Order: sequence, then structure tokens, then C-alpha cells
Amino acid sequence: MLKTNRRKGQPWWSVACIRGICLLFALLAFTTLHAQQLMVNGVVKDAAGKPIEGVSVGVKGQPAGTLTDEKGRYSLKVPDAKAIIVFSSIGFTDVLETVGTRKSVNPIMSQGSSNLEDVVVVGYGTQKKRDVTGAITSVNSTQITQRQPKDLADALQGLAPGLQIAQASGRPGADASIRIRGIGTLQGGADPLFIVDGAQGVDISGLNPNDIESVEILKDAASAAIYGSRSANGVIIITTKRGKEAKPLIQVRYMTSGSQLSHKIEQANAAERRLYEYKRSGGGSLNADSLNPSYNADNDHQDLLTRTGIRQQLDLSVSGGSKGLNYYGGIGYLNDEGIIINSYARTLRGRFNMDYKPNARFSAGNNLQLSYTTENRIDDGATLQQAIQRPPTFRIYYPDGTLAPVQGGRRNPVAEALYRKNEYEILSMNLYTYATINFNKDLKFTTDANIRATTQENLRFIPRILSTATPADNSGGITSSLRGYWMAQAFFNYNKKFGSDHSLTAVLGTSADNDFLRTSTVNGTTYVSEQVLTLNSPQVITLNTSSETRSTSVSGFGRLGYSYRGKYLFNSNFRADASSRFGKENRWGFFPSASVGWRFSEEKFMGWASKYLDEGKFRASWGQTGNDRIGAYDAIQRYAFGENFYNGASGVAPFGTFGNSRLSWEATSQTNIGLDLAFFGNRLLVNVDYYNKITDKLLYQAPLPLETGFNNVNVNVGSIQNKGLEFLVNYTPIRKKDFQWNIIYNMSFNRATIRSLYDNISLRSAYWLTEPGGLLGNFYGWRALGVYPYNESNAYDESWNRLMPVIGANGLPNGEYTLGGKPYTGKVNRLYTQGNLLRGGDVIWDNLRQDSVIDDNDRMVLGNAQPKFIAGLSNSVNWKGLSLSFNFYVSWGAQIYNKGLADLNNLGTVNITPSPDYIRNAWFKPGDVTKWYIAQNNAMGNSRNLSSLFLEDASFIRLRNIRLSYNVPTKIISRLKTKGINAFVYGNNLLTWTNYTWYDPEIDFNNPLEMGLDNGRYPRNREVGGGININL
Amino acid sequence: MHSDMKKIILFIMPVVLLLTGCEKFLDQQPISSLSTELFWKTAEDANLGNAAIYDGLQKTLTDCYIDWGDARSDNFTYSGTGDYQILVTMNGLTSLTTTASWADMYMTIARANVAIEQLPKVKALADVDRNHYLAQAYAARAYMYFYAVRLWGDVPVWTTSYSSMNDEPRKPRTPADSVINSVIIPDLQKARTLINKSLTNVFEISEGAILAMLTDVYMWKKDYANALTSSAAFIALPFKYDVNANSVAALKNIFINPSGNKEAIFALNWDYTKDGENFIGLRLGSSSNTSNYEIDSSVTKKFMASTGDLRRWNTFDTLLWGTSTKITQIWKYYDYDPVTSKPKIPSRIENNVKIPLYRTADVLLLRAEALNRTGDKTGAFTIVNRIRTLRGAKALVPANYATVDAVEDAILDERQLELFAESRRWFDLVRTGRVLKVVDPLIRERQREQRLQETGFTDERKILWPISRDALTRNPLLVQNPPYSE
Repeated sequence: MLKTNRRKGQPWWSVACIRGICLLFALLAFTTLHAQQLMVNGVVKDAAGKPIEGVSVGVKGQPAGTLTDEKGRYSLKVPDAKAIIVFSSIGFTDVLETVGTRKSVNPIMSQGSSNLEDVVVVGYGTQKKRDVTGAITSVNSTQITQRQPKDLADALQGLAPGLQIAQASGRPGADASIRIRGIGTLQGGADPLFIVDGAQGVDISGLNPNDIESVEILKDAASAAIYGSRSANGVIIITTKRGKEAKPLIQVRYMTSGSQLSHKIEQANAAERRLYEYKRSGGGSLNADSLNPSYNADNDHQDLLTRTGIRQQLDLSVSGGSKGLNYYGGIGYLNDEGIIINSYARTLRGRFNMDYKPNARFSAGNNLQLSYTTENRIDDGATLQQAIQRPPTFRIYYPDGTLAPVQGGRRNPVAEALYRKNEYEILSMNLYTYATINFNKDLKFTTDANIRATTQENLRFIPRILSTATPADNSGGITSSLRGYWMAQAFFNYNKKFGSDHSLTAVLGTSADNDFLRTSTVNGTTYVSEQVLTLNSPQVITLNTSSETRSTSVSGFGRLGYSYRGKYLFNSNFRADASSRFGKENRWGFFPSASVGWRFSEEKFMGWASKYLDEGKFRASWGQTGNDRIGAYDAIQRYAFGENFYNGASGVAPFGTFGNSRLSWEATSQTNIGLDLAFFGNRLLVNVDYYNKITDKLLYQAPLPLETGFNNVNVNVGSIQNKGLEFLVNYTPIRKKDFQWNIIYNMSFNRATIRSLYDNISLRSAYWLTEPGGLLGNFYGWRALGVYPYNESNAYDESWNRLMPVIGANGLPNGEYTLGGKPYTGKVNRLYTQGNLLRGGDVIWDNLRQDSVIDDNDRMVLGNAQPKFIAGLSNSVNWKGLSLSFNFYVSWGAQIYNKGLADLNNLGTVNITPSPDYIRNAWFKPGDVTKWYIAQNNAMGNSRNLSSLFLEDASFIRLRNIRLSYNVPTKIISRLKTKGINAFVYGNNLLTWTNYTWYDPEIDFNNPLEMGLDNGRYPRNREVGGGININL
Repeated sequence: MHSDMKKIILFIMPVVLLLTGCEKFLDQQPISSLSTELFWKTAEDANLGNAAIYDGLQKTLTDCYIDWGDARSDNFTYSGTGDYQILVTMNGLTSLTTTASWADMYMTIARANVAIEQLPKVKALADVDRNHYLAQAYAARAYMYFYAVRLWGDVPVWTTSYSSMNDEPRKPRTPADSVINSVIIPDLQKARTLINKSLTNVFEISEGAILAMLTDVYMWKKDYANALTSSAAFIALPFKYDVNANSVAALKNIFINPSGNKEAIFALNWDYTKDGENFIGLRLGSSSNTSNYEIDSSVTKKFMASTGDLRRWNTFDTLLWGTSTKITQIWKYYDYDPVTSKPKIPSRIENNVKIPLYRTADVLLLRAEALNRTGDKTGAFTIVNRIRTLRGAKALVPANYATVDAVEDAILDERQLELFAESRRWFDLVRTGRVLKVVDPLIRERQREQRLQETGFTDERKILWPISRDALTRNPLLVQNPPYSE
């Protein structure tokens, strides 16, 4: 074991390792030998006899090879007759041929979607898929482009087991939450680490999914630990497309689609609104003013506020290369109109990748990524919520076509959408540069750097027409931010075969990074002109804020891999990280991992199965990963200013969050056991993984007693466990020349449980109870059992069993009671709440504590927000040039607190219109038996937060995507002088099966302490579109 | 191979250099905030730390001033469209009522504690200034604890700052009497000895404010002798605080322009461009939103019955009296618009009301109460009638008030009209044991109007506020005030 030197705060080996690298690797470099070489050439063809271009051809166990030309020809130097040549190309099953005495090798490659000989990108290098010992799922560009995705999250949803993706909303440009194997943190940030072409910190939203070549999802600790303190949430490695040594290939893609609101919420019409007013007034007045046109409309606000949003996307890419140089350039424009009027996001994304390899020893290159987005982000609260709540009887337009103002405290949602500005302008640039030296065929040195700059400007403006003040005033502001990031790395890769049985791989390196963020906001009112919204326009400048943070980290890392005949595999990663975010005493963290694999199908005793079983591998791994995502200065006790003004002085006061100088890493240990099987000529592939992930030293803001004057303190105490099982089955029932059918099914089960918390103090909020031993996402509140039909129905015996009132001859209770059908003459107990006696029309609450008051003590765990399982099923059928693909996404067993409905039916405000179900069924007169309480704001807490009345099952099955495409036959293509034409139609979110009543059961998982809360966000859309891809 | 080694060294050099300078690279100090060691060094630091205490007072009182001191009394009833006001005005407080939170109050206390600990360490500060800042911190802390004991009774006491993770963050409640006698009164006395007696800035705590607070505290304790001493000392101050406003304009001036005004002792200087929204607008009327509260008709009746009283024109739109329109806008805080001859009531977010915390009339009327309780009926009526005459109302005839309680009723009525919507009435009713008598019938009337069951205000224990659920969850040593359990 390595020891850390606590006094200096820096482990001895971090320096020693770095200083020793040069010597060690230089010595190893001398041990290589050179051998005599043979020349082999040939032609590679597919099953139809057509030559295949761009197949990579290489000697097994050696890195560099060559590519086939447009006629499928290649020539390759091999060391000796025993050499095995590997032919591989995306979309085809690899072919291995031993050279023997042949001078010419002419393989035929068959199509296949997954392949054990594929190469998998892992941290700081690649691995043959057959040598992988961790839990890694790969997704290739074919799978991605099939879906017409807008962004990365859209591209990956439902494709990989253990990956849970949910769009925060249907708003154009909205971010999604991506979670790998549940959430193992409370507040440390749950996003996985993204690595793009080896670099950290690349802007993921600026990445065009059409530029992606492959995505690798590193799920277990053994795979992820090489990224140390940032890897606890898993790592997603993205490789972008690069040019191949061939003539320029020009690809043009165009698509367009229309989307509509996928699920409209049932809303009260004018008649129902009047019924509500009738019920609310206890059968008294109907409408305040039946002659005023302002109060006698009948509007469908959802129809008025939404539209068919048009999306257009044009992508252009050029790639190619000549000897020693290749390039890939892509540019894409996406114009995405939202389904709410006036919402849009327009994005221009560009990429240029170039590699330069003048000789066998040296290579260098860079990737440039640029994106520019403009967006009008509609305020959900001012439009959608108002559209649902505003009485349908209120007018939207005046007869002259102008928009009506705020009425009875309810905003005009159409006016809000059209006139309120919330515009974003985001420019992001990313430049990555690398250089590699191959000292010999075994040892390689790489150094790289990544620089990113993102500027964002958010302009907000509320014109006079939306003002509620007299006289009307306008207000607005601008927030601008600049994020700068740089990262530099240097590492060695060493791959060596000793004899024919032993092979060794090693990585050793170091890195450093620096992250900087500056944000400033200026707000103002009384603009000189509503046409000029720059900051010289407001006559009164109100609150200004500004903040800057910087954090830095340095790391050392390494990997050692060993394989004996490709049968027994061993891999080990380690990393040491130091970050400025943590207290000086706890600055360094060390993250080790180890994994083993056993390809038992290679064993002699498995010979009997070799007819069916192509590949069988057992994997086991253990590792530690970390999470460093806390505020830049959470370990420092600080004073804040800028928001504590008094009498012209800017007061300086302690931060509400207490600084903890002992703050350290959140450490996650994960054990993974997996099995990979391939049957029937790779036609059936099965992967199963079981994991147990325990996060210790949980990072979160523990609440402090308010009397200390502080709100909370960042601590490192507590533990969460995520346990789960995930599997993937990839089956190809039909694999013929003209007809292929492939099915991929994946499924994952995950359970996140709290093991312990700081001081064992449970975290209680209005909706959740987070307590040691409990599940994450437990909803906590009161259980509603119905509504008392009569005042007399609130009657219980001495042990709180409910009594039934006896109904007399006049149809009303006569004062007698029965218990279990028998007359009851004992003492009658009554229930109270909020100081009042519960009466007919009030909710019957489950009296957990069995006393006469319904209060805090009667709250209980009512459900859970975690799905029991999520699953994805994708199908693709190819028949000649036609291909049909579709995929389903399932999330099962989660519950959602429908806060949208709760806010609608809480009767707090007269001018909020409840749901039609409520209006029709609300208790009205003695004897009514219903689930909905009396339509009166009677301060009895009938709609209290959180009530089981608003907890709903969020299970759903969704036809996520369906796509039909047609490849124009070769004959026509060649006449058109193109290399390929593909036309397609597709649909997204066409069908959803769910019992959930609000917009959408798919909600994001951003904050583990606030799981499953649906505030009524921007709804998801149903999209139908088509397009064409042309290769020139 | 030689050249390779050179290349390797070339590549590795920057990285090695980086790592050797690593500790420095990793030591990132806050850029746009201050680490603790860098503050409390200069005289300006003392001034800014002091401003943070006042900012705390503002944050605490902006939404609670009316809700704590007026809303539960007979001054207001519910208005607007939410159920929050219904709960507050009909004795339906729960641990979730937002204004039941003492978070901001203890934040202010913590800021005062930090100042009390740090000010002695600031070297670059003249003693007279240091003492003046210390006095303000002590007085502000006492003022917050005084609100706390009046609202919740027993409360936890923190007189030092929470400064280390090793400190025990949880404390149980200390009996209210002990908080008054061993924290509030000693703090105020200390403040009086330390304060710079020559400064009379109305937006800061001055000697006058300290004496007003002391009078207030002693009256709460029913310690009439000390209340008389403190109020006498207040009257004798060289600034010569006195009542003098005898016109609507002069009355208005006390609120909109309190600086240098003999009737204003201590007010908070709100500036919405820096401090954000002042909740007075939402509670008592704005040009943009419906107010939370409506003046209860029992008060408007008293105003209208007081013939010639200037204060009613200053308080509400008397033209609405007797109409079906609810009176929800309180005028006293806003300047007149000469065109409409009505006050210019700003929008909710542009409200700059300078929340009055102490006024001369308040201290004088408290003194009248103390005189009455100590047998000097004439002295009491002299004060009351002096104020009434100035404000245009008819003088009261002492002979009409036979008992001590009857005189006290008259003084309290006077306080209600004079100090309407100034966070006084509820505490007056509690202090003099009149809550149930005054409020119960009003609540019953409101409940009938809302077709609710008539529960009124019969449980004396509900005079105290509930402790917020948030505070209870964070500190298990706290026990809720019975009978509240939700």
C-alpha cells in the first residue's frame, strides 16, 4: 500500500512517480526487437461480392495498419507467416486470417452490428472489446444517426443498460439529466464525467450528435477509476468522427419535422368554471358579472398557447485524407421551434478534426468545436401554469385584437409568451491539440491540451403591457457569464507482448486543469424605450450581482493490464487527485481499482460448447471513485456582500453556508460482477452485470439549527448504497444477404438506499423524508382516505375505528352509530385538524398516531420516486434498401407528486380554476360520497402538501422513436454521380401508455433530494418528420 | 534514442514544473467574496459589518412587521385571494406559516454576535467609534430577542457566534423571563453606556432608540417604575424628542421624511434598488397587487368616531367608508400626489417605506400607561390629550374613566389610532391581557362570514406563535409550543 504524507499534504509518490516516468519508460523502450517482414495484399469484399472501402487492415497485436481503397484493395507488411491479419470495419463482423504461405488474402466480410473484436475506447487508450474486464457499453454512430437526435442525451436514451436519461422538459434547447447506475450522491452533482476525444471540459451541448463516431459508457468503478475524483457518477467517452485515407467524402443531411403537444391536460370549460363558482359559494352567486365580456369568454388556453413547432436541421460534413494527413469537418444548423408560441432555439455547430502523421514516429492533430445558440426560453410559470389555472371565462383578446392584461391576478398566457423576453445567446469554443511520439512499436508518448471558452448572455424584459402596476412600468435585465477552462495532460502508453502467451499494457501520466466562471447581472426598470434593451436604457438600475470563482486540480494516473493467452485478464487503474476545492488537510485523494476477466470459452473443457458458444467471459471488478463537485470555496468560511445593503452601505456578513475546512472527497466503492456470452456465430449476445455501489463520506449541505445564524454546512458524512442488476440481449434472428433483423433489449434494476447521515439527522422537507435506512426519494405526507359525507361521519370509537352514522327517516344521520354493522353506544371520538373539527366535505386523514389531532405526527412514507426498472427495446429490420427501426422505452414503478394538479386544486385563490374532475365531483351537500373535498377555502388543510391524493403512478411505456428509411439502389446512385442517397421518415414519442394525468410521466432526476416532483413544466412534444442524406 | 530522451524531457518539463508549483496552484482563494481572515481589519470594515446587522433587521421585519405586530389583532382582517391571510387572521397558525420562521431573526443575532466579538480586535478604530458600533450591535441583538420572547416565549439564546464545527450547534429553549432579565435588559444597558450620545441619526440606533426600547421592555415586564425612569430619561435627552405634528402634512412627514424629525426615533431606511422588494406593499397595498389585509371595520369605526382626527385622513381613504369597497390600502407611509390629492402608492416591488420601529408618541403613550398603573391618572391624561389635541381630536374627559382598566382601555385605543399598522397593537393586547376579549368576537364573525365552524380565539396558549417546522427538524432539542402540533 502507498502511504500519504499528511504533513505536506502531497503523497511522496505523486512526485516520485512523475520523476521516475522518464527513466522507466526509456529503459523499456530499449527492450524491443525487430524482425524480418513479408508483404501481403488482396481485396476485401462483402457477401454480395461488392468491394468494401475503408476497411482497416492490420496485424493482430500491432497498432498501425492500413485501409482498403475504393476497390477494396490493400497491401500490408506482416512480420512472419504466423501473423494473423485482422480486417475490421464498422457494421461488419471482424475477420481474422492467418497468413501462412499465402501472398494474397481475400476475405469476405459479413454484416453485423456488434462485435467482440471491436475496439473500445477506455481512459487514455483503447482496448479490444474481448479484453475488457469492466462494465462498458458502446454505442456506435449507426445507432445514433437512426434516431435523428438533437443532442447527445436524445441520442443515447434507452440504448444502454444502466443509463437513465430524462429530458427536463420539451423546451427547445432544454438540458436532460443523464444518470449512470442511479444517484450515489445528495448534493455532490450527479452528472457523469464527459470525455470528448480524450479531453475533459468540452461543451456537450455544443456537440452535434451527427459528428459522433462512438460513445462508450464506463459504468463500473474499475473502468472509471482512471478518472479518479470525477468518476463516481460514471464516465461517458465520446469519440468524434475522423477522416480516413481516401478521396473526400461529402455528406449532406437535411431533415424537417413538425411537433405538437403530445398530451393535453383536461381543463375546465366556462360551464364548469361557473359550476365551480356555484359550488364554491355554497350554492349562492354564479358569476360576478354576467354581462361583462371580460368575464364571459370560453377559452381553451392550451390551444391558444401551443402550435405545431417546426424543426429544421441541415448538416454538412467533409472528410478524407491522404497519406499522413486526414481531416473531418462538419457544420450543422438546427432551427428548433418550440410548441409554445414564440419559443425557439437556433444552434449552429461546427467541428474540424485533423490528424497529421508525417512518419511512423510522430503524429499531431487538433479538434476544433464551435457552437452558437440563440434561444427564447419561455417562462413556464408565466405561460403554461397560467394557461392551466386562469379561468376559461377570462378574455384573452379585446375585440380589436389587442391582448387583454392581467385580470384578477391571473396573467394572460398568450401575452406573456409573445411579449415577455427571456433570450439567451451562447457562444462556445473548444480547441483540443495533441502530439504523440511512438518511440518504438511498444511505447508511445502523448501530450495534449484542451482550452474552452463559453460566453452566455441572458436578456430578460417585461414590457409595460404585461405590467401589473399603476402606472405601468417595464423592467428587465441582462446576465452575462464567461466560463474558461483549460486542461493539460501528458501520458505514456506501453503495449508489449512477451512470447506468445503474455501481453502487457500500461499507462502512466499526469494532468492539471483550471476552471473559471464569471457571472454578472444588472437589472433595471423604467426603460427609456422598449425598442432599446441594452443596459443604457433602464432609467433606474436596481439589483446588480457579480461573482467569480476559480478552481484547479492536478492528477497523476496509471493503468496496468496483463493478459495470459487472452484467456486470463487483469487490469488495474489508479489515480491521485488534488483539488483546490477541498480543505488543505484533505487535499489529496487516491482512487485505486482492479478487475479480472476469464474467457472460459477458451478453456479446453468448454470444447463441447464451442459449436454454439463463440465467446464466454466472466468479469469481476472493484474500485474506488470520487466526486469533487462542490462549490469552489465550500471549504472556506467566507463573508459575502452585495446583497446586504443598508442605508447606502454594502453590509458584509457571513455566508449562510458554514465553511468546513475538513471537507474532502466523496468516495464511492463499487463492486461489479459481469458475464458476456456470444452464441451462434455472434448472432446472440448476452451481457449481464450486477453491481453494488456504496458512496461514503457523502457530500451534502447538512442543515444547521437556524439559531446558529447559519443555514447549513457542507459535510462529508453519511453513506448511500446503489445496488442493481442490468442486462443486455442482442439477437439477430435473420442475417441474410438481403434481409437482416436485429433486436436489442436492455433492462436495469437499481435501488438507492440511504445508509447513514450526518448526526443521523433525517432530512425532512415538505415532500420527502430522507432518513437512514430509507430509500432515496421517499414521499412523506398524509394519506387521504376519502371525504366525510356528513358532519356526523367524523366519529370514532375509543380505539379510533371509524363509526358509521345511522341515517334516519329524513335521510340525515339520526345521531346513532354502528361499528362493524352493530349498533355502537360507547364514547364517540372526533378528529380535529389546524384547531378545527373536521366536518362533512373535509378529507378523512389516516390517523397514524391514533390521537384526536391530525398533525405532523400523522405523516408517513406514501410512496417512492425511484422506478423499479427501466428498459429499452430496439428493433431494426433491413430488407434490400429498406430499413425499419423502432424502439421502446419503459420506466416502471416510480411515483410522481403531481404538483401541477395539487396547485390547481388547492382552492387557495379564487381565480385558479381546478381540474374538471374536481369541479364535477367535489363534495357539495351532506351525503355526497367522493374523493374530492369541499370547494371552499376553509383553512382545514384539505389540500395540504403532501397529500396522497396527488401522488400518481408514473409508469410508462413509450414508443420513443420509429424510422423508415430507403437506400437508393447503386444503379441509380451511380447515374446521379453520388456515393449514396438515403431518404427517411420518422416519428418521435408517437405513443405513450401511462396512467399519469399531467403532461408527462418522464421527469428529470436532477436533485436526489427532490426526486419525482412535477411542477408542470414545458410539455413534451410528439414529432413527425422526414429527411434525406446524400453522400457525394 | 538520445533525441527521444530530449523530446521526452521537453514534454515533461512543463508538467514537472507545474507539480512543483502545485501547492500554490491548488491554493485558490475566493475572488468575489472574502475569506474570514481578510475581514474586520479596518474602520470601514466595522462600518460594513454594522450595516449587515441593520440589513438583518430589514430582512427580518419586511414581511413580519405587520404579521407579527398587527395582523393577528383587531387591526386587520383577511383580504386578497390566498389562504395564508385567512390562517393568520383567524387564529389558524401552523408550524408551516411562513412568518413563523425565526431564521432571519437569528441570522441578525448571529451578525450582531460576530460584530461584538470582532470589533474589539479591529485595531484601526477609534474607541469612540468602536463603542458606538458595539452599542448598536448590543441593542440590535436585544431588539431581536425582544421580538422573539414576545412571539414564541422561551427561545434558545446565542450570545456568541457559531464559529467552529466543534461547537455544539443545538441549544434548548431558555425561559422568556431569563432572556429578558439576563440578555435583553443587560444588552440595552450596556448599549446605553457605549453609544455615542451626540449622534441622533434616525436610521441608526441612537440613545433615544435604546431608551425607547428599554421603556418598551419594562412595560412588557410590567416594571412600571423602570419604564417611568427610562421614558423620563428619553424625554430629557438633549435632542428634545417631542410630539408636534398638527397637520396632515406634518404627520406624513414623520414617515416619509423622518430624519431630524422630533417625532421619529428609529426607522429602517429601505431602498428597493438595493434591498429589493419591501413586503409592506404586498401586505398593506400596492398599485400592482391585491393586499393581503383589509382594515377591520372595528378600527375604521373608531377612526370615524374620532371627530376631526387628522390621523384618519392620513391612514386610509375615508371616501370608501360605508361603501362596499374593501379598505386595503394604508396611506400613512406615502407622499401625496398634488394632482389626485391621494397618496402615490408604488408598485409592490418599488416600495420604499421606511419602516418605523420607534416613535416619540409610542414612548409617551407607554409612559401614560405606566403613570396610570402607578396611580397618576392626571399625568396619563395629560399625555393622551396633548397628543389628541395636536392630531385634531377632541380631548378626553378624565372623569369619564372611573377605573384604572378603563383608563388603560382609553390609552390603548389612542395607541391603536396613533400607531396603526406599526407593529404595536398585537403586543399591546398581549401585554395587557386583552387578546381573548378583543379578538375572539371578531374571529367568530369572520368564521360565520366564511361559513366555517365558529371556534373563535379561546385557547390562551395560542397567543404564542408556533415554532416553525423547519426549526424543529433542525434542532431536536426544541419542543413545540402547545397546543400547536402541525
